[in-house]
Amino acid sequence: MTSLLSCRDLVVEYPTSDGTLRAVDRVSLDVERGHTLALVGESGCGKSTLARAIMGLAPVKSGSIKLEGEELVGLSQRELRRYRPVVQMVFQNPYGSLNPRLSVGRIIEEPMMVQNIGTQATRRKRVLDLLDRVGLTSEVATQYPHQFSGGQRQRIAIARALALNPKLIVCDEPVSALDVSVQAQVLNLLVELQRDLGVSYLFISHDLAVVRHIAHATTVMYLGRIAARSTSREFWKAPAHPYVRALKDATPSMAAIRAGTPPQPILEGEIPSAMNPPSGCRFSTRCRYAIDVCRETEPLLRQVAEQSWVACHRVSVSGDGAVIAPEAQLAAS
Amino acid sequence: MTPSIRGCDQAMRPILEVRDLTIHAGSEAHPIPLVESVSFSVAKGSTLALVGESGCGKSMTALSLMRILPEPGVRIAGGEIHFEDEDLVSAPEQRMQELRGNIISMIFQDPIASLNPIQTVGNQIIEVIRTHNAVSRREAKARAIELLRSVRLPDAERRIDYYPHRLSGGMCQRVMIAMAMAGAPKVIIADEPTTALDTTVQAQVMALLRKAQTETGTAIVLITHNLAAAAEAAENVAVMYAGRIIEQGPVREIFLAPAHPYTQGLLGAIPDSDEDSMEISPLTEIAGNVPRPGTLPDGCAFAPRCKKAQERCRQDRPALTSHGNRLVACFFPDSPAIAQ
Repeated sequence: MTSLLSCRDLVVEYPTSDGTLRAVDRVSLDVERGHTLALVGESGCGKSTLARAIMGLAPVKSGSIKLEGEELVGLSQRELRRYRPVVQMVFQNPYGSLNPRLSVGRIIEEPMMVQNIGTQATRRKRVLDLLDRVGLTSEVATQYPHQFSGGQRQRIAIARALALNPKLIVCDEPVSALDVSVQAQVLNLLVELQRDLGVSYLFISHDLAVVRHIAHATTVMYLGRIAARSTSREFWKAPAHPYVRALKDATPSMAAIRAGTPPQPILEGEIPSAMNPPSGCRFSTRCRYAIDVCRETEPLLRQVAEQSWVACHRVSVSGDGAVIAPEAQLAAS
Repeated sequence: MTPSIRGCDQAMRPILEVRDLTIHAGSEAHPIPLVESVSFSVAKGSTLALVGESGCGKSMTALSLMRILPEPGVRIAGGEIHFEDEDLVSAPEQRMQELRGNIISMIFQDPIASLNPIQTVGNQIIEVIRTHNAVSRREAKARAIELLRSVRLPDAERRIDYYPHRLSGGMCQRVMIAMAMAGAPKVIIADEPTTALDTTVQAQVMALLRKAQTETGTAIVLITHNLAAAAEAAENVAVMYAGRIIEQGPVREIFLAPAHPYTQGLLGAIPDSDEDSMEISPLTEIAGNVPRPGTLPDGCAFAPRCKKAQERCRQDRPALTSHGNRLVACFFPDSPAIAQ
């Protein structure tokens, strides 16, 4: 069976006054049915641009985006409209993504109106079902966004995204703006909806704790390229790629505090400009394991274990199939 | 009076001591309490984390320490803020100006918005230096470059002439820290200093604050919603809920064995385990929402969301009471935690 969504060698470029900015550079990924793929990286890595490209909102220079086997690249906005019901989106800021002048009922009904689905009566009925689905009461339908907290607004945004029975919801940092206790409620809701409706998520986040919890598969981007990807939930236990390892070490973790893990060395420097990316491996300017080949030749994403791929010259695989991270090689030599 | 915590910081006299701080908004006749009877102290060279969710009063507490509460209407309605031998609540404004940004300085959440966009970063640091010291512009500039180097701003000599928009968020936060360190402050108040930054840059900025603290012995009040970050950076923690401290004491002790149901709920809500099964287990939720100021229930403010709440919790407000090394405001605190 084909993946629900497949991107192959996707390139997204923006013209700027200083030349062309390649925000997404030859990226491939697959979202499986009923699963969550997390797209992780720091600002400027291209994760949000990739999401926008999938939504038909960013200029795709080359490559392919296939939804259930159908090519989306090259379609006009009008033709794309046919696919809108299949892919919906939930945004980061629940204060900016709901029209303050529309009632909540109308906000959730609108996608069905745009797609000419049902009569007003059936749509209204569906709105109430959706509100119930996301844990809100039916009175909410006549109220306005300003009457709700961030967590409740995000529930409304999720109800709107569900209105057309999508197969994929692109979630761009959906819980980043929420308080810890509310974040847990929304994450639980997303997991519950996935279990009940079989919806897939492309989950964009910079928060490793959240990603580790919710994702079945993970793709880590750095400066427009994929640094590593995995289809295993165990990805974060022992990441081999130096950048992924640095991300993990930089994230304060209660688990590490409980275990008494000593502080790890800090990754120095900042992400270089995407206008002028470093030659060779893009991470080589900040990587403490970089050697000449890293600065000269770009590492390709290669499979190192059954469920794990890395783009790094320094990661090796031993005779018995164990993935050896650069720091382990240094320790051994 | 709030009881003091036994055992910690006993040898060292606190440099900053807050007692029964109460902050009100609204009119004098109908005040809305934002912060109620908050007490804590910080010793030289140590870090206290104030943690809690939005609206818990942690940022208002931070602003009150500098006496920069939003005008009009938000005011210190009671309590004392002792800095060394002075009471900052009653200090004249002129004295506050001498202290502010110099002896007590602050780092804000959004470094790009906190810098003046039409002044070079160098001029902004030089202004801070010259406001508090009688030095020439040239000497001040040399000192500014030195400060920018100490916060490891790459290429400091050149970047000192940059306007903030040419720097990344992480670099702007380095400039903010350099500025905060300009007067060799005795207290730094850091209000969510890394929230707006990328993960790897967050770690850099926290390391920088720790380095500054080790070198100068400055005390830090760290305001954060990130419990893991608080646990890494601070020795002591005060957990706030709806304007009050509900649990307070040594950070490791509290986070390894929280006694207050709210602290337990917060820690349980953090997704934090290594998961390998494809089945995703639900996180512990705290039902309901954080109450808005002015709409607090009678009794314990957390009672409506608390699984352990009983009749007494809905009628009486539990006082912060001492249990070993920590203070807990709950009638039914988790006993194994406090028995340790």
